Parts: sequence; C-alpha cells; structure tokens
Amino acid sequence: MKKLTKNIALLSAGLATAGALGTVSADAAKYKTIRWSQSDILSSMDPSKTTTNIDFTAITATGDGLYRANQKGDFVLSAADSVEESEDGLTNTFKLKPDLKWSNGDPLTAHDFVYGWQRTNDPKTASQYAYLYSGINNADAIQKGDEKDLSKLGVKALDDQTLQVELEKPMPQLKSILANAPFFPQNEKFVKHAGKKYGTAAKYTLSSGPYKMKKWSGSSDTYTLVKNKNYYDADVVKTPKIKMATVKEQNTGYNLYKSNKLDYTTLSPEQVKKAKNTKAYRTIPEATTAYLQLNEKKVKAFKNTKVRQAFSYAIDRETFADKILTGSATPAKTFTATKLVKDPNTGKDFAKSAAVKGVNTYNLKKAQKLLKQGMKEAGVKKIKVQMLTDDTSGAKRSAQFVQSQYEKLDGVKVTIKTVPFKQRINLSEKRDFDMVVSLWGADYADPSTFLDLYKSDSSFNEGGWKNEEYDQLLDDAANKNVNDPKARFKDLTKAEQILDKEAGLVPLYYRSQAALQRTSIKHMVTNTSGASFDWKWAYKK
Amino acid sequence: MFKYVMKRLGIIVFTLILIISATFFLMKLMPGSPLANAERLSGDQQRLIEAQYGLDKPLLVQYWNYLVNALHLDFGTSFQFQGQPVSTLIAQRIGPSAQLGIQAIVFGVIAGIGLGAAAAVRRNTKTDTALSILAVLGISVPSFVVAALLQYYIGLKLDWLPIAGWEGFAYTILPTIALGLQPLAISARFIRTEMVEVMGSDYIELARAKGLSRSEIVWKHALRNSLIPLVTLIGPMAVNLMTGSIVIEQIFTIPGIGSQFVNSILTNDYPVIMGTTIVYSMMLMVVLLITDVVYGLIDPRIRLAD
Amino acid sequence: MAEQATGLTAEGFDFIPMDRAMTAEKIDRPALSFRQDAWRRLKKNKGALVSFWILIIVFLFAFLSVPYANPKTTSHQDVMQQNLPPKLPGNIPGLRGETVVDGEKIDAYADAGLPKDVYHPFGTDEFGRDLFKRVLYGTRVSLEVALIAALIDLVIGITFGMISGWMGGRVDLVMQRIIEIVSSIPNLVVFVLLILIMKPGMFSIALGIALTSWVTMARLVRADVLSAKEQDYISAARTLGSSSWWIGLKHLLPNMSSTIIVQLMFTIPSAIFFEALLSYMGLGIPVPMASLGTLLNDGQKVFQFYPYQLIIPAIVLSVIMIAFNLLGDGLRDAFDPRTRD
Repeated sequence: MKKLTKNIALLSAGLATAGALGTVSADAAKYKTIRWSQSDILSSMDPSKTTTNIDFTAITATGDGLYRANQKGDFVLSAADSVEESEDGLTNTFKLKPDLKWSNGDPLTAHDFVYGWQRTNDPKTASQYAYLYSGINNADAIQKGDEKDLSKLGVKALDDQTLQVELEKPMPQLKSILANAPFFPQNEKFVKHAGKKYGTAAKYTLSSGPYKMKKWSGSSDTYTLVKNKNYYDADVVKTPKIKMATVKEQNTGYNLYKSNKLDYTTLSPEQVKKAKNTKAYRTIPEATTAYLQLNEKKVKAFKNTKVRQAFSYAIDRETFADKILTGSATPAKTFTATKLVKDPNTGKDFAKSAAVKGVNTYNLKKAQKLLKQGMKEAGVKKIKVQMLTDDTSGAKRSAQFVQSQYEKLDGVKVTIKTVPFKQRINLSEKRDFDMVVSLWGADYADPSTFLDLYKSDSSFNEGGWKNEEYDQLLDDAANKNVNDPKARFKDLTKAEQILDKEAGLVPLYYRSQAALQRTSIKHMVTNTSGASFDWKWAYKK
Repeated sequence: MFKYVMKRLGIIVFTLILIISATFFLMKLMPGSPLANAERLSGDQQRLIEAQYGLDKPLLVQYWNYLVNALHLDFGTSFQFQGQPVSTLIAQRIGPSAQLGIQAIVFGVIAGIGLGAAAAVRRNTKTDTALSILAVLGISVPSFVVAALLQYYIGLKLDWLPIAGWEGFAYTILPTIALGLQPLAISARFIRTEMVEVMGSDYIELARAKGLSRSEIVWKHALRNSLIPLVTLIGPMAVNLMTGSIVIEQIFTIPGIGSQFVNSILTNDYPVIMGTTIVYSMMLMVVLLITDVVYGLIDPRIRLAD
Repeated sequence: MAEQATGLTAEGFDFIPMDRAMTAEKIDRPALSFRQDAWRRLKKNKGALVSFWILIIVFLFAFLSVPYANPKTTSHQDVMQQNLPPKLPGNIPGLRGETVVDGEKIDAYADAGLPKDVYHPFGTDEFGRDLFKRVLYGTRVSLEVALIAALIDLVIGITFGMISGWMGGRVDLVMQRIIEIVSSIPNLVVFVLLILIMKPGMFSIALGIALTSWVTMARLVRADVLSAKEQDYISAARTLGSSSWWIGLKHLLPNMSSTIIVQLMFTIPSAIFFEALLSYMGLGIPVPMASLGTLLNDGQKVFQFYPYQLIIPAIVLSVIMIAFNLLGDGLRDAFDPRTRD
C-alpha cells in the first residue's frame, strides 16, 4: 500500500510524456495548470440566472463585459473599444472591438448584448440579479411587468458593432456593474437551442471570455477551464488550464495545499496563526461588512440612541479581529466597507476618510454610562435579547465573542440563536429578531451600495432606524449631485457619519479572506465586488 | 417466495407514499424562502418564479402533482441549481456514494468477521478483551474524527494515500476505512457472540468427538453457521452508512449524495431535500428487502411467510 | 468380611430429620433472587464491573461539578489565555504547559504573560475558556441529552411494544407495519427535518434522537410480551380477573426489566454518539453550551495545531462509549440464564 499514489502519479506522468512527445507546445510547457479551490459548489453558468459569487467567478472567466476590472482594480473597456457619453450623462454609445468571436466561432455583435440584457430583464427569466439594471431605461418597468415590450429596454444595437445604452438617471456605478456577469452578451441562437438547459452543464455554455468551461456536469464538485483561442485578447492569456475543486473542509484544503495538490486554499483562524509568516500567505479584501442590526420595533430600548451607542462601544473590535477572527477580519468603524472606492475629495479610501474618531470604538466605561442613561430614558430596567446568527462555525465563533462582550454590561443579557443561512435571511426579512448579525457585500464599487440599505424606506433596513437628514443626503447623492462626484461624496460621507454616530446599526468588522496562494502564481486579480477572482492574466511557472 | 416479495413491494410503495406526504407537508412548514435576493424581486417576478415551480396552485393540487411525479421518480427542478431536474442531480451523485457504501460494508464485514472469530476462539483471554475493545473503538470515536486523523497522518504525514478527491481507487481507500469502522465493529461483536454460542452447541461437541481438528471445527462448522444471521445486520448497517457518508464525503471531498443533502439543507433547496429523502428511504427499503430474501434463501430454518 | 460390616454400631447412625426431602435436593448454590444472581454473575465479568465503576465515577464527576462547571463559568472568555496547552502544578511531563514553536519548546503560559500560578489541566480553547470545565460540562450535557432521549425512547418503545404484543391480531398487524415504516426512513433525515422546524436545543435534539431509535425497544418489548403471554402465570392472573393494565404493570414489566435495561445500555451511548455526529453538521447543542460532540468538532478543526483539544474529549467519549458497551454486554450475559456457569 505504501507510496501507492506516488507510483500511480509517476506512471501516469510517464505515459503523458511518452504520448505527447514533441507535440507539447511551448506555451503549455512554460505555464502550468493552476489548481484552485472554492468553498462551495458552482450552481449555474447562466449569466441571467446566477445567484452566487462562486457563479460570478466562473462566468467572468468564460465571459467578457463592456468593462472588465484590470490588474489595478480599475474598470477599463474590454469588449468595447470606445465609449461616447452624452452631455447629460444619460446616453452611452459603445463601439465594440472589431472581429469579436464566440468560442464556437460565431461572430459576437452588439445584438448579443441586447439579447442578453433583454433576457435578464424579461420577468419570465426570473433573474434574481436583474435589480442591478435599475436606472437603465425601462428596466424597472419591464421587470415589474408594467412594460411588456422588451425592446423598450434602454439598450439598442445601432449596427453590429455599436451599442447604445440609455439611462433614466445617471448611474455612478455604471462602469462597475457593466463588468458583472448579468451584463455579459448572450448568443441568442445558442441560448435558444439549449433551451432550459442553457448554463446547466459545460456543453451548454458558450464562452466570450478568456477561458472555456469543460468537465462540468451541472452539479459536479470540480470543473476545468481551458484557454479560449477565440478570445480577442487571447495573446495575454497564458494559462492553458485551470482546475477547480470544491473543498468545504478547511483542514482538507490546508492538507491538500501542503501536499502540493492545490495552489490556493482559504484558511481558518488557527491556520492563519501558523501560516501568516509564510510568503504564500495573503488576505483578500471582500468589501463586505459584518454588522449588527438592532430591531427597534421589537426591542423598545433599541429606539434609544444612547442604548444603541452603548451596544457599539461595548465591543472590542480589535481583539475580535486579531484574536478571534484572525486573518479574516479587520475592525469596522463604518458601515461602508474598506477597499471599495476612493473618495475624490480626499483621495483616500472612502471608509477611512468617512470614519469618525471615537465612534465605533471600544470603550467599556462609556458604554456602561450611556447604557445606564439610555435605559433610564427608555424606562427599562433590563435588556434581555436574543442574537440571531447563522449556524456555520465562523458565525458561531463571532456570536460567542459578541455575547461575551455584552456579558460585561450590567443589565444586559444576550442569548444566541443559530439557524441555517436562508432561514436567517427569512427571519430578518420578517423582522422576527431582537438583534441579528448580518453581512453585506458590495454589488458595485460605490458607497451607495451600502448606505442605501439604511434609508428609512429600504426593505433591507431591518433594524428600523430612521433619520430624515440621512434620507435627504442620500437622495441628493442620487439625484441633485449625481453628476458632481465631489459634492456627491460629501453627501455620502455625511450620511455615513450620521449612521455611525447615531449607531443606526453596529458595524463589527470588514470581512476578508485569509488564504495561502502559491507564490509561483503571478498576476492573479481579485475583486471586491462581483467575481472574486479573475484569472485572465494569471499564470503559474 | 414470489408472493412474499410482491407483498413486501406493496408495503414499500405504501411506505413511500407516506414518506412523500410527510416530507411534502414538513417542507411547507419550513421557514425561509429558497430565492436569493427575494426582497429585490418584484411581485410579478416572484409570482412568475412560483408559477414555474408550480407553487401558485392550491396546496392539495401541489401535493397531488408532487406525489404522482415522485412515484415516477420526477422530483421537480432544483431551486439552487437553476433548471436542473432533481432526479438528474441525484443520479449524477449517487454513484460515488453507492460505491463507497458497498466498499465500506465489504471491508467492514470481512475485517469484522476476522476479528470476531479470532476473539471467539480465544474466548476470555487477553486477546479476546483486546480485540473486543478494538472493535468497540470503531463505534466509540465519531467518523469525522477518524477521517480527519487518517487524512492527516496517512494522507499528509506519511503520504501513502491521497488526501482527498475522487479520481481512482486509491482515493477511495481512506474514506472506505473511515466509513467501514462501524460495520466492522458491529459485525465483529455479532460474530463473537454467535460463535461463542455455536461453539457450545451439541453438534460442535459431536464434531469434536469425531476427532475433527480444531481449525476444521472453527472454519467449517462454527464460523459458517455464525455467518448466516450476519446478513440481517446489513440493513441497520446501511442506515448507519448513509449517516456516516455525509461527514466522510465532506472531509474527503467526494462528489456524493450526502454532501449534496447537507448543501440542500443550507440553501433551503426543498425539491432536493425531498428528493434525497425519498431516494434514501427507497434505497434503505430495497436493501432491507434484499437482505430478508437472501436470509430466507440461505437459511433453511427460516421460511418467509407468504 | 461380614464381621467388618457388622462393625457398624448404633452410634454410627444419625437420626434423619423429617424434612429430609429438602436436604436431598439441596442445591449447593445459595438461593438467590434473579437480581442477586445477575449481580453475582456480573461481578465475575471483570470488564463489565470495571465499566460499571467507571460510569459511576463519570456520572459523579459530571453531575457533582455543577457549582464548578456551569454555563456561566464555562463560557467565561479570556482572550489573553487563548489555546494554552494543559498544565498542572508539579513538573509532570506533558502537563508543563509547553508548546513547540519552530522546533523549540517554550512555556506557552509564560509566553502569554501569565503569572506562575495559572493552571489549566486540560488547556484552553480559542476563546481562552478552560477546557477542564468545558469537558466536565460537556460530558454532563451529553449525558443529559442521552438520558432524556433514553427516557422518551423508553416510554414510547415500551408502550408501543406492550400494546402491540398484548392486543395481538389486527392491532398488532397495523402497529408492526408502523414499525416497519418508521425503521425504513433514514434516521438522519427524520432528525434534520425535525430540527429545522423545531427550536434547536437540548430537548429537541433528545426528542429527535428518541423518535428515530424507539423502534428497537418496541420490537424487543413486543417479542417479550408475546412469549410471556403464553406462560401460565399470566393466564393465571387473567383467570383471576386482573385487568390488562394491571397485568402489564405488575407482571409483564418486571419480567422484561432485563431486556429493557440491556437495551438502555445501548441506547444511551448511541444517543451520545449521534449527538456528536450532529455537532459536526452544525446541528448539535447550540453555542455557547458545550457537549462532547461540539468539543470534538471544535477540536477536530484545530487538531493539527492544538492536538489536546481533540484528544481529551475523544478519550472521554471513547471511555464512556466503551464502558456502556462492555457493561451492556456483561448485563446481557448476566441476565441470560443460558450463560450461567
């Protein structure tokens, strides 16, 4: 039994070299297969029907939008060659690159974009990401079913190479969302031919991006990406093959990485402590914030600003991030996540420049004092609340720490309720909780993707906090000042600061992904919104 | 015999109908929507999605449709895997699980027979105690612990066998051992008890009196007669394996039905949860039926009631 | 020769008492009740006896430690004392609180800047919680879950089995079908569906386990009732006009006690074991409570770095499991007249 695998590996390696003698291309010899891992299974390759981040990554590897995030994280034109913006910012005319092709050789034209966009907005498709189109002419009306004519959607093919996009209102996030999977072109002939099966297995996918999908049955744990020779930018794509494995157990991933069977694996906090001094260690920011929502409708005391502030001051975020969530979190001082977008006024990261000194920090004395005053004002003697959270091991870890922080407050008693993810979402929607640990990841690179959630009429404002000035500032940012980035960011900064000072919610940490990634892999692109990874430029020597 | 099997099949179908009904109504009680971004869907979109899955019809109609389809092995389409029929999903994943289950039973039973027989022959000696404790260990350390230890020491440290994956026979060895420990323990204990009893019975005395050698007695008479009732244990073992496989599949990243089941629970994918439940029950009932029939065939003392 | 025989004198004879029939049939073993007999035989089985005492000790430790290891003390966090290896006073190898960093042994306690008199016999976990307390508490919770499950199992199983066996006929037939149906549903599936609908907690877990395991008990009880029904003492009781309930309680139950006790010895450990498995899937005892299962699951995640966090609860669980199993085997042998030696 000893060395069984090694022998097998040697044997197959021998066969491979014997069989492929002389036929190995220079490229393939130079650049090795990248072996990546994902924590959950791929569920759909249909850009209109995708629901998860994992899907976004795979679709982005096999597709291309008008824009694509480059290695610096900037959104640059990709399938489009040039863009002309009208003066009011409401009409964008894109000229596509010449001779774009699908992986099956079909020419890729502006009509493919129109078809893909219409299909996503068609209520019959029931796309769960169609809301990203909100702002594009008639998108909302079509999704609601008020407008039955799909051709009224604000996208037109003026000719095979020219695409015109019309907006209802300026969309500062436009570039960022156009790089996302639901905005990719779709080949009408292919989609119609595949019918219901479109995007449900490798053979029912068609690539417009750097790679083609292979060996995916629709529910298999593994898939393979191979270079797409028909991609316009195929010259830059160096890697011949990427193999993806689904690894749910971090111990397994860690072992596979250590035995050189994987090139990338995510790490648990304990693994981080051992691995953080190695060269392969890296943390990947996710533009995701974990925060507590305090339900003002259910718990009377949470209507009191001082009580809410006390609940924020009581949490030692530094210890939380360093010792408990080691590697996968940084202390959050704002609701808007870091590494999302730069503030044009300061040139610095928005979350950093908007943070208010002394707010959302740890100060137990202050917390105790505020709590005492607040409880008196609210007329309550005790606050007994249940904290709702997910039943994953990471969520349980966080919940236990937060609970222990609140144990230190006199008159507060917190219990934990853990439920599966989808149930937590559902209970939050129904406002059926006292306090809930929520996570929000950015849909696009703009603070409004976070701040809009806590407008008083937003369905995601599950705590029920209300502030007129806050609503007004966000309204200004979306309308009055929409074409003036500086004024707009001033509004957004002010709104963020109001939310933080008033403790409308309690930001806990910005999530990141601690991982080991083999140092031989170069030019790997990671994104904080949309697809997590992009292998377009990546290679392994 | 034929009549007996037909009767049992009838009961299986009846049981299935009950199970389908129970899971159907339990699912209706479950909180949580399976849709991602449900809040961002317009009322029309939600209605359309519901219509696509037939959720717009009255409950009893839904129930009837589901029941009829389920009996034809059509469990609807998955919520999570857009457009994938549940039966295809299960069919694609049942192979590895079945292979692993069979291997684990074969390994566990054979090793268990060896251990159990050795213990019985050396009854009430230190060897017996040691073997008994060894056998009980198999059911006293949870499989996820055994699996993690095997993976770390045999897979990573010693590098004898693959750590995880599903690419050939070598990949199945560690999971088979981890999963097979429980059948091993069960069958070892069973064989020991049976053999101790058989060894004390009159016909063994007779064989001894006839001057048969010790090994002949043990192998030809005692063991053979102890093996027959072991068949009845396969059913309960199969149940345990289904539970165990969920853990093992996750740790060794095996693309089986167990990891799918966990996944469907986490994502509220009702059609998959229901489909898997029904398939699991069906497999179990068929295994039970087969073991009963086999038992009736090999043991002349048992006559299956018509 | 004849003379010799006549050498017998009157003194050589004894008067035989009246009850000589008794003496003639006197059994050379002391007259023992069934229970005494079983206990005597159990005592001869060393493995079972040791297991018995081990279990007594485990129960005592688990249930008498309430003032020391309770929800409050076991959830006390001190992040400064994260993941410390076991340490006891005295210089015992392996319990010096040492850890290996880059091939060098260092004192993890001194490294964490702790005073000399800080001791954690089982070390601490990721939150700096004392594992000795948590293992005590976890053992208690596991035993409680198992006992509740066993109790529910007992009530459902015995009632079902007795009614089915006693009533016979159609009732029995229907009840047998029910047993068949229940046992052909995979227990994990039932459990998961149940836990998703009910509030997670100790009782729902115990109920879930019991609902999937009562079938065996019911089967055994039914078989016992069926054989007892044919016996004379039951017919006698019937003829004397005792009600069915009375017969069940007064005559059947005591006679089945051995079957029930033996079965319990297997139900309890399998409930503990099942809870451990559920912990792995995140469906076990809710945080911040602990059970042997959740401790094992937490330990399993970090065993490459802090092996003691896995080994200690694993040993405790194994000892309990083995003890229950050996005791169960011993009791079965002891109660079984055929194995009388």
